[in-house]
Amino acid sequence: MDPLEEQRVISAVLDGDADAYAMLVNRYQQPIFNMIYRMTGSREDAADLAQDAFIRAYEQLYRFHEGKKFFPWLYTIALNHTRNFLRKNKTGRTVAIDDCELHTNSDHASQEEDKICALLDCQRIQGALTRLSWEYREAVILRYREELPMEDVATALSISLSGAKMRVHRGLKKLREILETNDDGNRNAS
Amino acid sequence: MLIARQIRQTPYLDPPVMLAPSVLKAIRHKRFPIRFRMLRWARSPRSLTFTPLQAAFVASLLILVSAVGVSHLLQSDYRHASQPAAPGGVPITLTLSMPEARSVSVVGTFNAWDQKGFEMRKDQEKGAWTLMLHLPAGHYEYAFVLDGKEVIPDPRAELYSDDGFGNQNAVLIVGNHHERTS
Repeated sequence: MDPLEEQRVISAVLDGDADAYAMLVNRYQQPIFNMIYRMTGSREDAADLAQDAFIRAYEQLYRFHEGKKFFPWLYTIALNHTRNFLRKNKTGRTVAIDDCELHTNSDHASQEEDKICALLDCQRIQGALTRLSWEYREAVILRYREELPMEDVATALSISLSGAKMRVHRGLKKLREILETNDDGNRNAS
Repeated sequence: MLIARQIRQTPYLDPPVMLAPSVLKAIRHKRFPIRFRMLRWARSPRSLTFTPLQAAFVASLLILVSAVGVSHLLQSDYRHASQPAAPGGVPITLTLSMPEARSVSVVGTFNAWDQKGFEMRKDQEKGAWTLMLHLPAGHYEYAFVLDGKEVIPDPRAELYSDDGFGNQNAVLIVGNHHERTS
C-alpha cells in the first residue's frame, strides 16, 4: 500500500467506513504481531495484544495527524501496550529460534544446500537478536527488517532522531559482538 | 553490511488468521467522538447533483420566497409610514410660560388660524399656559395669541417657518406614535 493509498484508507475510516480499517490491519498485522511475539515469547499473548493494539489504534485514530505515516504511530501504540502488559505480568521471555523453517520440497541438491545455509544464517541471526535488549533489538529490526527511515524509527520508539541513530548503531555493534562470540565458541567447541 | 542483509531476510511468523476479523468485529460498533465527527463533516466538501427540472423548481421557489419577502417588507414600511393616527389623533400638549398674560390662544394650520375653541388654560402654580390637542400625523404651523392681540411663535419650538409677512410661525411635525409636549 503506497502512502497515498494509505491516506485515502485512513480518511475513509475517519469518515465512518470501519471496513476500510481491514486494509490497514492486513497490511501491518505481521510486523506488529512479530514485534509483540519477540517481546512476549508467546503466540497467544502476541495475538491478544496485537488485537488490542489495533483496536486501540482505531479508537485513537481521530487523534492521528493525517499526512503522517501510519505504521510508526501504530508501532508506538503496540509497543507501549506490550510494555505495559509485560510490566503488569512480568512474564517477558525471549523468543525461541526454531521459527526458521526449512521447506524441503526441492529436488535439487544445490538448492537444498543453499536453503540449509540460509536456515543456519537465519537461526544464527535470530539467536543473536534474542540476546539483545528490546530497545536495541526493535531499533535494529525497524531499521533493517522493516527498512524504515531513521525519522520513522525515532517516531516508532518515541525517541529523538539522534537517539534512534545511536540505538541502531549500538544495536548492530552488540549484534556483531554476539555473533563473533558465538562463532568463537563454536570453533572452540569443535 | 552482511548483518543488515541477514536481518532483512529473517522470516516473520504469520499472525493468526482470525486477527483481522476479530479486530473488525470489535470496532464495528465503535464510533469516533461526536465533536470530531461533526467537525469532520463540516470540513468535508459536499457536492450536490440535480436535474435541470429540479434546479428550475428550486430557482422558482427561491424567486417566489424572495418576492414575497420583499413585498412583505415594502408593505410593512408603507403601513408604518401611512398608518393613520389613532382615533382622535396624536395627543399634543402645547405649553407657554407667560404668567403675565391674561389669556392665550393657539392658532395654526390645524384650526385654520381661528383661535376660537383653542384657548389655553393657565396653571396657577407654575404660571404656564397649556392646551392639549389631538392631531393627525402631519406638518403644522402655529403661533400663540396673547391677550387676543399679540401673536408670537412658540419660543420652545424646534423649527420655525417664515409666514411671508416678516414674521415666523412655529413648526410642528406630528408623526405616528408621537406624543409631543411643547
